[in-house]
Amino acid sequence: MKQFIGDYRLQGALKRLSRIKHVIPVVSGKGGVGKTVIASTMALLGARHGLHVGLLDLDLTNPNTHIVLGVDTKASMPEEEKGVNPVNVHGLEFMTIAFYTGDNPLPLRGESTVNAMLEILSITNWSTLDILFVDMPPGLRDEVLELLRIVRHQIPLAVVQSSRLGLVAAKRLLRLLNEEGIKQVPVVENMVHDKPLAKPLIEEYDVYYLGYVRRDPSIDNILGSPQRLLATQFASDVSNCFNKLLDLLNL
Amino acid sequence: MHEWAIAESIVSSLEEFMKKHGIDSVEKLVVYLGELQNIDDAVLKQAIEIMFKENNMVVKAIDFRIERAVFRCRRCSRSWSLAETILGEDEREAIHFIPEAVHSYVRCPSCGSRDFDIVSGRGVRIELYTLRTG
Repeated sequence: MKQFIGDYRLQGALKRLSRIKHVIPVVSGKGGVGKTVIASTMALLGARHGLHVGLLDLDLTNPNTHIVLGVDTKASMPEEEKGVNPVNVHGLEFMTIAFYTGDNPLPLRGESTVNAMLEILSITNWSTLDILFVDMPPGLRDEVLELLRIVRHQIPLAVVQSSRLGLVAAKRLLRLLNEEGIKQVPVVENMVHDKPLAKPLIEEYDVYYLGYVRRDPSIDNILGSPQRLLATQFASDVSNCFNKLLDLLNL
Repeated sequence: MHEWAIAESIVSSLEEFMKKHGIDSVEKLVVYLGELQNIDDAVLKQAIEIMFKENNMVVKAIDFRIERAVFRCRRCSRSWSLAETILGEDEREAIHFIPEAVHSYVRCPSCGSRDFDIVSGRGVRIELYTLRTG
């Protein structure tokens, strides 16, 4: 009798992710809110803090974390060893699809997105990590939904743009996450102009407001240099949020 | 080897399924190998057999079948095979790890679009056969 056993890669993915204490997908309701830089900065801060941290780029069609970290994806490839080992960079374990696609376009429709994601999750050999930050694409689409489906021990961190449109998108995202059973969603309010807006406006959701990060136009010029990035006011604001995240995680 | 990671996923998945459904032995495991991913079947077979032994799993036969890779363009509906595409060593290597990377390196031979489907022969998939119960 023929039996249907589902996608075999799921078990491989779960096994590899089970070595990680906290999987933190960095998500947002809309694009351009600064997820990539915040995810990368938090990962760098974690490593500096002495934690075992990984950074995975799951923004499959537009991976950019390697640019923030200054990683040349042609010069440093993951080594093959019963799977693939993430690359060690700036004290982090790092994995991105850009190691395989470079800066070429990678147009993916729904099923292909899920396939590529499962392939990466099921072959990447993370070591025992305290935190794995996952840079996600914006919105409520395949990568986010699939990760919500398969990873139980995750704490999505929502980046909210401090603007009217940003808050509308954030509310949709927070409502979905709460409905999916995720409580105390950590929130970082980013790109704050004069003063933060989000906290009272998202009170109706079950969130854990980590703090806010002021707009810093100089960041764009120092992407690729983690040392300079960590010396900015931006990184100092992210660090305050990160410390609150550590409280939430009991680390 | 990357094949070991695939073997590990297949074996854990099978083990989980057998445990859940109280199945003691499997008559046949069919492993379909998509041409696109270019998996080394000898290495995969060896890894699977070693893991079955280590986990005391009874699988009476393993059958490997190659599936030809076929693509179909979403723009112009042209279908073509892997044999009609030209790929460098690094590109083949990238596709070996993540078959969807093919969209970064291959375009429709007729209209040049990257918006195509992998109709068959993408990667590894499995089928399981047990004795009829009940």
